[in-house]
Amino acid sequence: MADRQEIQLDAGEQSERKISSLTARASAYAARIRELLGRLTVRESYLFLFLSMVIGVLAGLLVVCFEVAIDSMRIWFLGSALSPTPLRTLLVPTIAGIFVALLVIWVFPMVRGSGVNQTKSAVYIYDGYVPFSTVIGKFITCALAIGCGFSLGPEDPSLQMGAGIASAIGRRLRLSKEKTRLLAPVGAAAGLAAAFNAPISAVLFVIEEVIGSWSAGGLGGLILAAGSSVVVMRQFLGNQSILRVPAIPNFTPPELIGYAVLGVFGGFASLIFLKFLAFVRPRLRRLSPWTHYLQPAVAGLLIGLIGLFFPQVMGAGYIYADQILHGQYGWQKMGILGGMKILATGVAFVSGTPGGLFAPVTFIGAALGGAVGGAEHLFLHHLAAGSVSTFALVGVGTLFAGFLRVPITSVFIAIELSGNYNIIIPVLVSNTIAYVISRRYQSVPLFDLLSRQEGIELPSIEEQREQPVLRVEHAMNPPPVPVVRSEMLVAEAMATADSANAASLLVRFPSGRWVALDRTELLRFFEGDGHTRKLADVLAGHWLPTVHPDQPLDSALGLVQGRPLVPVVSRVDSGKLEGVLTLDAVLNAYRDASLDPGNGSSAAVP
Amino acid sequence: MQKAREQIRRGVERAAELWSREAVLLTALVALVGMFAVTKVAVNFYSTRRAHLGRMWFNRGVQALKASQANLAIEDLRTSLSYDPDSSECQFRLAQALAAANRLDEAESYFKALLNSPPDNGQTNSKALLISSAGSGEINLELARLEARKDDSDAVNYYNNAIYGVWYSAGGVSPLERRWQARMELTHYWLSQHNIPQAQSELLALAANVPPGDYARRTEVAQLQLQAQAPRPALAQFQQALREKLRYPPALEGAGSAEIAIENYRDAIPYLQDAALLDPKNAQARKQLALAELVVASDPFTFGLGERERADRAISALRQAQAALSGCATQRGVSLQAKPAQGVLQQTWSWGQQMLPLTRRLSRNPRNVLEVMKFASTAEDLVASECGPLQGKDQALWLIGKKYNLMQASSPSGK
Repeated sequence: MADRQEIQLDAGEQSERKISSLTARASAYAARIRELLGRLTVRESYLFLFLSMVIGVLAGLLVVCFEVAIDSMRIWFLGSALSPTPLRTLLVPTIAGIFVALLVIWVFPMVRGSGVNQTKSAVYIYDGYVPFSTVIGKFITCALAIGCGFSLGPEDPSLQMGAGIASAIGRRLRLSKEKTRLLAPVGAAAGLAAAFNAPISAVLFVIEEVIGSWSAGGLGGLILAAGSSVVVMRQFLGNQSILRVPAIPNFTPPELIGYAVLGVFGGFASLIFLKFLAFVRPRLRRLSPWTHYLQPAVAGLLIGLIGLFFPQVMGAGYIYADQILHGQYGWQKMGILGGMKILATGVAFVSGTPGGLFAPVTFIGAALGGAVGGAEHLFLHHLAAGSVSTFALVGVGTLFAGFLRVPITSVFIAIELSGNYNIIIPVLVSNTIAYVISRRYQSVPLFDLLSRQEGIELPSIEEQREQPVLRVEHAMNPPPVPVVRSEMLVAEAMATADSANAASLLVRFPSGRWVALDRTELLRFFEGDGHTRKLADVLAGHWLPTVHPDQPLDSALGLVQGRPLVPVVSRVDSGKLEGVLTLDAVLNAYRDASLDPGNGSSAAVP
Repeated sequence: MQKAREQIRRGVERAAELWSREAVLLTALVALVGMFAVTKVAVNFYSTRRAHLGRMWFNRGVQALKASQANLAIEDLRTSLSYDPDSSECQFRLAQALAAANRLDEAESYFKALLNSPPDNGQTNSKALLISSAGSGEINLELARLEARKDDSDAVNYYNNAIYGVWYSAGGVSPLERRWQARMELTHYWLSQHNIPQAQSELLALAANVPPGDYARRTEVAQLQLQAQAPRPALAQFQQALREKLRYPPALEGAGSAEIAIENYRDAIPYLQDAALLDPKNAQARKQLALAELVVASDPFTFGLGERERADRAISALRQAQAALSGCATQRGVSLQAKPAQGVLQQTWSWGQQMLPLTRRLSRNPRNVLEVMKFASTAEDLVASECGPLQGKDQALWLIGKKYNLMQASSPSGK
């Protein structure tokens, strides 16, 4: 018995030893692998670019699945015919509205709205944090709503889903806060690019609307992500643009008047749409909570009612936008369709149903452009000698400028959709007019408006553009101290300081470098044996930083701190002094600018 | 044991901590591969379903188009197109349906889009390749038809593009034949535009390209040449067709008509007799035969005719012309006896009265036969212009006058 116990003990010890040796070997292997991985470890900036590509591919795959889900829902619930039967037209969006409301209220409360301003909030407020549940929720609820006929689009949700994927990866990788904050827009660009099949416009939109500034920090990542997501999307769903644009004829200068008229109509149509959202959305949100369960269903019913007469307004509407581009409707019909789509989209959006505005805006723009072009073609032929299709395409850009208020994206979207640069001048004319009209009568842009309705104040690129840009030239003054050459003897410099009764001197070296010389220090050189030496011999190495007159004042602020002055030199000749900058002068310039904001804007340098 | 387990757990945790970034990247890559696979399966299923739906709606659309239900065809084909937007065949059929529904602008837009699409269009469907591209004969022909319906001058360009465009065999019809048919349509277009010289030049090209032995098509060309006021080439084609198919009724009738058109009435008779004999129901051939016989029987200038017979025919022509004038005057409510003669009918009647003394010396003075026939044909021409188309012997006299150029300048048609 005792022997057996001994044997068992031995066996236990042996196995423990074995495990210990295994653990030790495992640790050794682990250390080795860690070392190997350590060699492979890359700098965060390279990792960021690699991640951008991975995020782009993931977002592209997700968007492909999303598109498939939306269309499959449509086929299942509304039927495979282009125009659903009246019963389905009425019932499907209504019932879907109930389900969407339940999902949004109970399961995915973060998925309301389009997704653009939510992503922007994530970037600015939550350090790029987008919960992964939002990705799932957005996918399910939007696929259900859009597939069942709600007049909303898949692009903005794709943008948010892309941001969600990027955010999840960034968090898991424990990247720096700055990089994590940048990853969300990268994912957003990837999602939008794949959904709209327009990588340039997606990057520009994210810069204009989500990031809000033209910093080059994340630009490489944005482009990589957008490019890779579009490649993936095209791999699965084909190269075809979302709209098949017919050939665009060249335009003649008088036709620009016709496009200007389109700009006016586009501006006011955008305004109507914006005012509708601005007026109705907050009121519906303030209604009793139980009504929030019914709002999407009521919206669905209203859309169904419109869809009975105009089935074109249901869903994202790309098929019909395509038909508009091919001149398949008369101008009156296109005008009515544009109006009905505004109503249907407005109703769907204010009800809190998740879904995007890009697709409806594309439809409305095409319909409006087609209507205006068609009418001009009929009544003022010399103003619209081009095809109605061209007007429809320009109309898309016009609505992007007037409604979404993304002027740069609006130009590129038309070019990217058409693949034709002939359209650029008409688009510029029409978009500018629409943008100006929209801004004149609706000061707050759409996505800022939606954020403010939710009680969030986010920076707006449109407002930033209005900020006065202060430059060094606004704060610089003539040098308050004598300027001497470095070839001067210390004794001569002392005499100059004495005669000017100056506390310091500014010494210019032949190389264009500058040194500030305090009188006490000068005295020290003078009293020693250095008074017969040149300033260059005793001062070399104490260089002052220099600035140029056109540099932003922000960039100079850090340089003036802790220094009596900073020389402002010419860009052509760094030895030529234009003035000096002091901390007091900088602060005074900022104070003056805050008192008179209009003053600085004239200083804006392109 | 416990200690060892704890060691392992701690080691794994430490390793996970140290490698977390790499592990996450690895997980992301694995997720990427997994998602790729899932997406591939989903898209395959989805594409198959869409392709099936696209085909189903396309077939329905084509059936509706064949059944002349253009609006239904448009709906179905549009639905099909929503599943397969790249299908140039579907776009082509949709454009045809739109044209059939008289929605010409929309149809034109589709055809032009097809014309501007690249030849390969990124498709593997060989049938689609036949349709798209700028040089497509089929699309150009459809566009030509549309423009012709809209009476647009671009029709000619599209017809020419179609004739010289790319064609493929379809339904057992060779490209040459389809090109020939396109030229035939262009000829019809020129004829509808009354542009006879252009029609004639196209007909020459058509005639030159009729395959040997294809008598039906040759006859078709010859009939058009007849319409295009080219009776001599038409006759040659009819005769060629008859060499290829002896006693082919349309060619016989056409040859008879061509002979009448070139005023060889005697030569027309055997063709028309054969045509009427082969197809007794052919009223047109019989009518033309009767006319040709009447012309031959009434012509006083026929070679080898005796003096007496020549005089009798002239007198008969004079009486016939006077009767026609009288009938026309009654129809118009004009009195032919009014003095002095004022209207053209009265003046011509008066001229006829002056011819009566000549009838006594007709057999002795053949020149009087000519004068009488001049009056008869001029009078018949006047009756035709004042009182409508001529029939029977009146028509025959008019044709005799036309053949020998007897009508006077004062007559309406001679002006």
